[in-house]
Amino acid sequence: MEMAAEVSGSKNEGFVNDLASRLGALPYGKFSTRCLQCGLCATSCPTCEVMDYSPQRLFAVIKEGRENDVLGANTMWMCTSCYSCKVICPYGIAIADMMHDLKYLAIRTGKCESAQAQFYLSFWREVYLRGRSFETGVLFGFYRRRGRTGLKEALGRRRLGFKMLSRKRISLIPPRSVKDPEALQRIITKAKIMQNRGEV
Amino acid sequence: MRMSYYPGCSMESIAVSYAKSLLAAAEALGLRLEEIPDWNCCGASIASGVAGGFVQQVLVARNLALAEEMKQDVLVACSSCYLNLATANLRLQEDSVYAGRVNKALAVGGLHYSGSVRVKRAIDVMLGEIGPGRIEGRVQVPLKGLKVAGYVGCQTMRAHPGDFDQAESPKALDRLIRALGAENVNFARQTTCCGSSHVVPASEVVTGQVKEILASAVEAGADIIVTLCPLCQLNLETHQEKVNEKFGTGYEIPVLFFTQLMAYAFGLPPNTWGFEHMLVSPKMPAPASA
Repeated sequence: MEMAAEVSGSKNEGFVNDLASRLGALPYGKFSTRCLQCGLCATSCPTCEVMDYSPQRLFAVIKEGRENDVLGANTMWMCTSCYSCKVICPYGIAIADMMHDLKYLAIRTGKCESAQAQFYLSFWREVYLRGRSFETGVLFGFYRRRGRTGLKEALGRRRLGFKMLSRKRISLIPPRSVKDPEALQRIITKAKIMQNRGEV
Repeated sequence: MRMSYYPGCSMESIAVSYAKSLLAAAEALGLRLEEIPDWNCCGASIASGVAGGFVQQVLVARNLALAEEMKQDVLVACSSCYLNLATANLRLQEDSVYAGRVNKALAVGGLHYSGSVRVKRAIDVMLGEIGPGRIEGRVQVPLKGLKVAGYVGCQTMRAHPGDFDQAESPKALDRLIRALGAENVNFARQTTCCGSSHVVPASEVVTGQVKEILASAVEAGADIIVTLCPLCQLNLETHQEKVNEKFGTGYEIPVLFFTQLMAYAFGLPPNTWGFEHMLVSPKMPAPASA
């Protein structure tokens, strides 16, 4: 009900700038031009205090077309996808979903040095290779990517890690993958090609 | 009654106690859950940020296509998996042009989804389909005197606001707690976000969120917290030590999945409770005969 209407009804409305049109090509990026600046998203956001720009402010910076500031901000990376903003927005903007599009755009632009982006890349690698996530694999991948900091973080968590191992909540052996990971990868590749061509 | 079951990755690892108790509690209520063969990860809140929104929805749609072959509705327990499956399903059912594009990608793997599947949360199925009356009738060990904080968390009821429970002040989990003979406590942080996947890259965010939730539940008099999301459970349980270190508190409160309470209250064998997986062991009311 909500989504199809939301997305199709919002095409190319509002202002135009380079950033907005790049965002507009993504599933929820079209919402970026529709903000009322009421600020309810910011007041409902659990991680607003640690964001470079609140969600409300980020809409304003998008309007100003400041691409580097937007894609370099930690705002979308600090979003927890809790969907408070989506529930509360009087204009029905799918803000949390738009944050996903902003992350995608940031990674595509090469802005992947944040811990969150490294974690995302590590998670996606497991899913792509095996069709299923594997916590220990994701964690090791993440800590490896983070180098020295990662080693320190991993050591700091070893006690919890051993506890989780002893309670059989995590394992060092990966669970079964999908039967034919390569078949799944072919589907993903096809979807990526369509996405890059804008056939979505 | 039979339903298809989409476990999701967490149910085989960090939330293994959720899977065990869910399957057993459902069976005790006459609901047989049949796992979707060869299901794949839904991508959590992560895949769209790395691979793009369309790629993630295709990934999710593969599961819906596999489920469609089973000709049954799908039960999902994890809140993030539910969000992804239900959101993609809605779009695929309502936007035929979009569905055509998704199917074009799925066709590479010999799959097709025509939109006939219904996706439901585990809690909806328990209360909406089976009903609190039948749950109450199945209880053999009433959880008398147990004060339970039903922590709903964020995504579960906000994924599609209003389709089952209220997003702002959800009632379903409390209703279920009462059906098991326990007392639900009212606490302010019932739907405050636990910090979700920040547990890995920015765990200090989780520590802050969890502190607020724990404080709220404990001040309301809860003996135990019960949740319906693998990541909420993980964060609320594993971050107690960190909260205690940072804020000088002394929290040591059990955090269970609602299905674990059900398996216990139904008098099912202890190997279905999944208590051996918990970091903080719960003290449950003893059966009347003991």
